[in-house]
Amino acid sequence: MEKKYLIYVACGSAAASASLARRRLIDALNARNIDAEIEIHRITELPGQIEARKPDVVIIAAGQTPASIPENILVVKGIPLMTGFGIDKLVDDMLTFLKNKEG
Amino acid sequence: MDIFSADINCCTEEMLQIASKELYKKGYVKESFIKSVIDRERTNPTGLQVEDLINVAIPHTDIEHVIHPTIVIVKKNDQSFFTFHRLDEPDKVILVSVVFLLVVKEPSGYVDFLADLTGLFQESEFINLLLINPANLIGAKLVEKLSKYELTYKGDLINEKP
Repeated sequence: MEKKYLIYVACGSAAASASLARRRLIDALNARNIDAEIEIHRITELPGQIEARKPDVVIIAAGQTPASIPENILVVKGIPLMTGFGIDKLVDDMLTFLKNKEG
Repeated sequence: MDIFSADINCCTEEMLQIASKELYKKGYVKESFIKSVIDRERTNPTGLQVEDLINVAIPHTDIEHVIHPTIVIVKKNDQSFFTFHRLDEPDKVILVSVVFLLVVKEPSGYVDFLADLTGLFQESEFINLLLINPANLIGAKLVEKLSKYELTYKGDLINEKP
């Protein structure tokens, strides 16, 4: 069985922007038959949440990208998931990174 | 859900103040909404660059300040733009053509609506509509485009012309 990825989606208030990004990400992953666990967090809570569960990817839906994310975690700017433009490239690039990391 | 349009030729915070004060007078929001939406825009800005097609902004705040959900389409009618900080890079500013002031009561409804609204950005015809037309025509068009929300266009938010 393929590894189930853990993805964090973050914005300033863990509300609207991250929820929209999460919904579009789920649709894009489903279309590729990829199963992932996607959690929503506030940007300010990211350091603690990353420490707690070590996600594979952190997507910043809105707000300033924190500087303190460990290097082995992929940080993705989530603006395509907000505007709807460039979602396929974002998801394909992310999956390529994850597969290379495993291999 | 009611939808309004407004032509407000002011800077961003003054525009938000004028629009939300009017919403308060009309009973859509609590008085606390006015300060809250302005503060929220400062801490979590909502300027959205849609590729190189158009810049919009989607100011909003917590549902506790809302009485009845509504949307206000705001434009300037002198061909100038609003200055907003970017949602994805808050240090940077963009010039925004159209503001969608979102007054939402249900968080899930908010996400649905935002998904459908930004979904319309994929249509170049809709982008042109936003760029070229005054706020009232955009309001009327949204009623048709987002018919599943049963929007009712209520006209100009600010009845008294300056």
